[in-house]
Amino acid sequence: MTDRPVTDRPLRVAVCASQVPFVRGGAEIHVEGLIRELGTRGYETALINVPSDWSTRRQILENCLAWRLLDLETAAGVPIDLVIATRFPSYVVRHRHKVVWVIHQLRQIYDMMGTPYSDFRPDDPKDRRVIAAVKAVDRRSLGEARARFTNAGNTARRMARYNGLDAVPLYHPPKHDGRYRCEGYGDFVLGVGRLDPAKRFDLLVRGLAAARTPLRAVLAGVGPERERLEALARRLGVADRLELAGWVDDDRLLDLYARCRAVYYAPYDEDYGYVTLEAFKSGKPVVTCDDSGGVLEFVEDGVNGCVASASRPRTLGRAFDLLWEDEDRARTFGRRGGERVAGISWDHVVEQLTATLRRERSGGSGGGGGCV
Amino acid sequence: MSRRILLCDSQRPFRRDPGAARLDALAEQLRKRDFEVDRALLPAAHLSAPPHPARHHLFDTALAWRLLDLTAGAKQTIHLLLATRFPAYVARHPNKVVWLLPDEAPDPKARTGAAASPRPPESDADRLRRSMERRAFAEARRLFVSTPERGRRIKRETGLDAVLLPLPAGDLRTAPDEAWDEVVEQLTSTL
Repeated sequence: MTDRPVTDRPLRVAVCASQVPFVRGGAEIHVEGLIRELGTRGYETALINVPSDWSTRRQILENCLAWRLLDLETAAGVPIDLVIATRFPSYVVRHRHKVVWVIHQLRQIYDMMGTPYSDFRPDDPKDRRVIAAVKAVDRRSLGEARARFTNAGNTARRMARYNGLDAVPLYHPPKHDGRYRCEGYGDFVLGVGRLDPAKRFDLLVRGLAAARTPLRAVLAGVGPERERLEALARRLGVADRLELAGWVDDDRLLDLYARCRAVYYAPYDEDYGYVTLEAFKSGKPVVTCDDSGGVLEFVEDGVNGCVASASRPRTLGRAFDLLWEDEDRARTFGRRGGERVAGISWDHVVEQLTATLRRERSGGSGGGGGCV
Repeated sequence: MSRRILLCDSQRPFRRDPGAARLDALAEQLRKRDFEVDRALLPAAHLSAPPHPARHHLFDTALAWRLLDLTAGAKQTIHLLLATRFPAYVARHPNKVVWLLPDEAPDPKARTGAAASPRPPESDADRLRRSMERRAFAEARRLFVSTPERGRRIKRETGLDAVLLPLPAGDLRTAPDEAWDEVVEQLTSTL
């Protein structure tokens, strides 16, 4: 349990997140988990969740300004002791004791520029101005933090490369930690996540088509790609082996993890990805791709999963065949995956995020604990 | 296709807020009638007790609301913005409906520390707030108030007419669905 500084009232922590109205995904689960875990360790918490969506370039900067205008120094006359900011542009917020635990920056102006996942054009003068402005905002607002953490090594490397700022990766457990289980290795590979292009479930469908074995696939998630995936499955002749389960409740999701043969998780350059941890905690191997980013911090080809080539769906098919034909291998990979993630805990996360505040309260400078 | 409604309200972090419970009840009633509902909340710094907040915080939060794009979420249209307390109704939306609910409005006497007295002279901040409200209310497709007194104040200060739409009587958490019929019908009438 984390030692809290002794005061005559609980310490107040405001957790800042950027909300996309009517959307709920990994970032929301991440923040909810943090608030819950801070609360169980005696901190008073509040979620500051400002809508952050935009249809024009100008609105990106206006949203940053909206965050900057918020006053989170006190609430009802009592100081807010710590602000923990997460996703862009929530970390633009001002506070005398701000710690950032960055989930996402605006990747469309950084590593995703020039890919199908970004519509920013560096040869467009207007886009250039917005890109420069957001980079300046990032440098300043991240630079002023007392401590900088990221959700994964991928995010930290990106911040160092594009913003010249150091940060420490700080991994946290997935939503249902303690409830994942294994109930055998069934006849399907499981895919979990929002059905959007960056998650690349089309590769799963192509891999299914390239496989020799009759492995099925179950996709748990909703999103704009659904119709396209259905059409692709029909065109490739695997519609009868692909189940689009849509949104599933927590119990069903845990059951799917428990019974699948393996989990497919091959988004484009993902930073963290709960799915990898959920798969490993369920004792299941992960099939991913060589450009899936942070997933590769956990998945090792031939050790706890298979790393295929995104440009060659046949390699995904071979991975599926391998795990179908050798259940013992699937079991061994899954066991090793579980060992890989066994040490990730909320105790460590909370300790790190509150370290500068506790040091300050105990008479230290308040620096250190993550990169400052 | 279900219609999306965004409820906009002022947030009181770290405090028990009766307004939050009202919003919960309204959201539940809208969902029962097959609307998709989400919330947008900004912290209400202006409600901090003296001596902390400078008056500019009153308008910083209002400006923050004004800067937000609340017309869509992940490219899906938000069909109705329903705003309740100051300064959430300053938000922009082509189908904004305002339902003014009881609020702890900033009290100039509390902020200055002056003893209670007959109506103090109008300050620049008061004039700015009135101007802001006049514009925000005029933009609304419909303007409702939950009490007659509030309606009279709106008329006096902005010249605008508001329709009386009281909250259901009693405990909102246990009020029967029928008690909300009129409220929901009025609030969603522009859809």
